[in-house]
Amino acid sequence: MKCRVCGEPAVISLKAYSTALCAPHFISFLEKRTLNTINKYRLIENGEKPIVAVSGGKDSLSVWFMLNKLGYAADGVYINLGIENYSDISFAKIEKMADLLMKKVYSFDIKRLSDKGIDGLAKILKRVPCSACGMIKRYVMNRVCIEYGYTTLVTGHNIDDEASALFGNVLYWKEEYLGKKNVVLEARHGHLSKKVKPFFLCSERDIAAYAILNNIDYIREECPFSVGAKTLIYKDMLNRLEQMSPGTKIQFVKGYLKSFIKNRQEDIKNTENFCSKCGYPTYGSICNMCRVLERLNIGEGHICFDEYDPSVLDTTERLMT
Amino acid sequence: MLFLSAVILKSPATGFDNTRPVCYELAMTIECDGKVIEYNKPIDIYRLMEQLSINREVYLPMVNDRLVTEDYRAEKGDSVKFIKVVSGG
Repeated sequence: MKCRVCGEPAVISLKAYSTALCAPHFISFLEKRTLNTINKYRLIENGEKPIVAVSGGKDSLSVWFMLNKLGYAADGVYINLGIENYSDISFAKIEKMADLLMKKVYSFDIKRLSDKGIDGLAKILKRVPCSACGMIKRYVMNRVCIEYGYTTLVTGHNIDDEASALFGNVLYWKEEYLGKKNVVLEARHGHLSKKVKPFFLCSERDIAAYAILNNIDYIREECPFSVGAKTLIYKDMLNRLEQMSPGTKIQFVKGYLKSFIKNRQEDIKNTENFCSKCGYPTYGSICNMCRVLERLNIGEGHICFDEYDPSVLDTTERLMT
Repeated sequence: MLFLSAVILKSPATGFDNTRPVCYELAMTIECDGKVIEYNKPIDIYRLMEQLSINREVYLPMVNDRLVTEDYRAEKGDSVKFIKVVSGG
């Protein structure tokens, strides 16, 4: 196949768009697509200070790399889940990217809460690890924004994440979650930072190709706790549909954005409360995280961050890390 | 791809060195999900994906560490890798 733009040998075919592109034109295509999403949905506006939630995977490292390349200076925040042979490798990849971008990373170690990794903590909380992880991540990432003055939390969620979540919510008619998914979740002053997803309309396949073509060193191993997750089953089903009928996922998600979300956002705004302890959004009077802190008998002071700042390290130190 | 190598053979009877080309055929190596298999014939990537039941939405094909499109014809001696792109839980 030849690149549709320049006629050089293509490196990737994009069936949903009936095209194929060479490396430079594919990189430019994905960056333009992301920039269009940022502008169309006003994800990052003048004067805003973004921070990227990084995990060491292809999506978060790519969005961090791309934003800085496109002129959106963004630092990173990482949550060390204390997973053996996984979390430390992830952080090493993040440090490498931080060095390249010369950007700061705030990290929170989950062992600050109970001296245990996410699996041990999940057992104490009688939750599955993914549920405990999601709850802690939401809280900690919101906290870093409010504490350090970042206005916008950027995540690497892609169209496959959104389509699979939407598929699961439709399948079980979880109406309370339908309408919550969006490219941007607006801030609630003092309570919740703005959350944005610049890769909302980009596929995992395209992002992986972007990472490979830009030599982004990301962790390829899966989180050991994701084995058998329903989301992966939904992704598999959607990918089978996509293979047979290219463009299915984008139609599904775009259709949702167009026809469903407008009617739901106002309802959601009106039904949320704020935690009486920390002030973050919750459905009850106290948020789940504050309940956990109470149960573990620890104060909010335990939620503090380590900072990795390559700009203050000299060259020798950077090489050693 | 044929790999030609000249090998020096020593004749025990005469003590003379004979130089003659020896032909080795290298197999193509295919790596997917940590498993490596060998394949002996040139093949288009899309045919290989069909034979291995690999969904193009789930894996990116790379030949000799470079991304390729599915119509690329892999030859003997090539190193083909399928990189999984799906993550999350």
